[in-house]
Amino acid sequence: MKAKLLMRALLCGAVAVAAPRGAAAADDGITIGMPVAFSGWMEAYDGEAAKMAELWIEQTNAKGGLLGKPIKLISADTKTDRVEGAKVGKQLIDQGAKLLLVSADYDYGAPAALQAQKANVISVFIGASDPKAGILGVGPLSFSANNAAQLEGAIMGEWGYEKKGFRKGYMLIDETIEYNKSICAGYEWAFPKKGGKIVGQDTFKGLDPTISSQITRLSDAIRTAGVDNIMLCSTNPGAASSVRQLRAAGINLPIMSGTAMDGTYWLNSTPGLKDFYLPVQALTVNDPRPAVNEITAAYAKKYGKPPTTQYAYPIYAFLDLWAKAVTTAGTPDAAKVVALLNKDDKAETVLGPRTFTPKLHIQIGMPMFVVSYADGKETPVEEWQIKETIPDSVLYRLKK
Amino acid sequence: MIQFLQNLIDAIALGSIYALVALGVGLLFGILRLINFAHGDFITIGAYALIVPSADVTARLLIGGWPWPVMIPMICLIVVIVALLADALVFRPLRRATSPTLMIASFAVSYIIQNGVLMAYGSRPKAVDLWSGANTQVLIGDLRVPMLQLITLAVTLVLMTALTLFLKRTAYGVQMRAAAEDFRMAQYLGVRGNVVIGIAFAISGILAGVVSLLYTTQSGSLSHTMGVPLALFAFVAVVVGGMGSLVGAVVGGFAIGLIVTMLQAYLPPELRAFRDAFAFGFVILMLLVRPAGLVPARSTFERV
Repeated sequence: MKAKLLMRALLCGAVAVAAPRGAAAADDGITIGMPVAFSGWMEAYDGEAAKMAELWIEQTNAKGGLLGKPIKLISADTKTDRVEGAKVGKQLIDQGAKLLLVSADYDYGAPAALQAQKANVISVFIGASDPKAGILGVGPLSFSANNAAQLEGAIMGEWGYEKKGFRKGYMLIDETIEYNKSICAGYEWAFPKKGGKIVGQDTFKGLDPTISSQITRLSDAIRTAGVDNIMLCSTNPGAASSVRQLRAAGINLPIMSGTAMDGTYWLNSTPGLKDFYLPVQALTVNDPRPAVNEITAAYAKKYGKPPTTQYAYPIYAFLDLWAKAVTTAGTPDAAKVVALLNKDDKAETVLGPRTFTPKLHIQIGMPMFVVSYADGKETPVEEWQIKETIPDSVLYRLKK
Repeated sequence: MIQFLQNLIDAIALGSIYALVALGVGLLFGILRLINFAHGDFITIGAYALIVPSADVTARLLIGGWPWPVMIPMICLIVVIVALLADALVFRPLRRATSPTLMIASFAVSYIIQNGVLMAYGSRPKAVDLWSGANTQVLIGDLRVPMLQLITLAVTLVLMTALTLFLKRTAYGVQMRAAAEDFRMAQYLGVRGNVVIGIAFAISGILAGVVSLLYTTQSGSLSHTMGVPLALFAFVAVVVGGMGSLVGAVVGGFAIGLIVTMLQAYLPPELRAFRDAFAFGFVILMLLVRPAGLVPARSTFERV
């Protein structure tokens, strides 16, 4: 009981402290709140996008801000903790945030995003790949800056069939997180649609000490069914570990994967890796678009080094779209801004076209760059856009 | 048939890793009645000790780049120091505590080590290339025998034999067995409890260090939770094998490796995701039939 009273007293205190700041924030500019993980394991996925958002705000303010007012950034650490996420998300809203940038994962970002939805504030996941990160899982005011994981698998399936001549696929799915299953759901939809055949599949867990029995089954499928490409749906550390084990077992078939494997930081685990492909929204080195390279240069100048992976970039494009909507609406008011964002149909951004509809707030059809790995480097092969729309049954992985 | 033999080889390979971890967990349980869940994190420490401590995304080898006759003892030494520190700072003040308390304390140690690694090395998984020369395979007809698995198997057998000899033939070994049998009685007879326990921690540290090298050679990746599933399965192996028995721990390790591999190989695709649930189901069945484990320890009964 005592503890409860103390908690209440503390909460009242927190509100009392927060309230005057909120009132002040409303006067001197537009506030963006950023409850993301600055510590804990999510930091690896939130950190660079958060820095990119900061860079965008700095650049926008240098150009005169938004609606003639400066943009103010307030941030708080969720410590990779969902309860903490809801708490600090609420705090930042109380301090007057008009837009909330939340963690790059549906599960970890949703608690803060739900607070925003409740308070009638727009929220955006800085990198979530789950279509639930948006209207279905949070509400009509929630967006994801990223693409659906299914799009990654679908792009690889189509591109692999058309450009690499792959006909017989094998899926290796890391069951650790939902994202992995969603990538393979996209591949499983797109590859057979073109005419390819998925001749086998297997599951593993990212931290399994070995995937030798999966390799045994795959070797058998290569021998008997003529597998010509492997779709590896996994994230690190499991992904790097399985690539190492596959290559060590003498399986040199082309491997395709999802965007989560972007970056060259993990290549130490498989020196000399080649015939490895994945889709990205932007390249951290030598992107084919000069505007993207300018962002990278500005980022490197501000933080001392360029981003490690492409996950730093999507929030930049979203913030551009948001700013455009705010400018057109003449107000950061959630209802008006979202109504405008919902009309974005192939709206041009520095990262290419983006589409939002009143039903879906994540990208499911935009083009991405297919990159190839060789000599310890990632090089763009070509831009690829899938021809058909990914159906809801694949997006939400409904039972067949 | 070939397929089955290949699965068997895979099972033995996985089993030998589990057995090696189970040996470390089983040793401490035998003497201290401590179910040390931090053993997995000792393995993590050993693996991270290979690289330069920094939060940089690209890992650079430090000790991992040294010649192996220096590197192996050095990694083991680092893990031994961590294990001894864990004993001195956490478990020694809890000597008279019950085993559930000790187990909770080991969770705390595990949590502290994981977060320490996060702080020192950053949260992004690291990639290292350790001994990729061992990552080749021997082909016997259609059978594929990975070199590293042979090494792991050999190391497991050597370490198990060495540990058995140590326990049977040396004075400290005898004291350790006496302590495992009846700790208080052993103390009355002049066995210095803290020294014996310290040695047990040091040995479990050496075992963890060896596992970290074998595991890193296999996977090439490091993450702050990499040791957790190993410790979990090893604990189950210890229970299956017979708590308190070293031979039991090794037998249990191989049994778990066999069950997991065979389930992975022969379960229909839609059930494969639930492999671990089936494996643990088997464990329950096994314990219903043999509650004291496959190789029961002599000291187990009176303590239950």
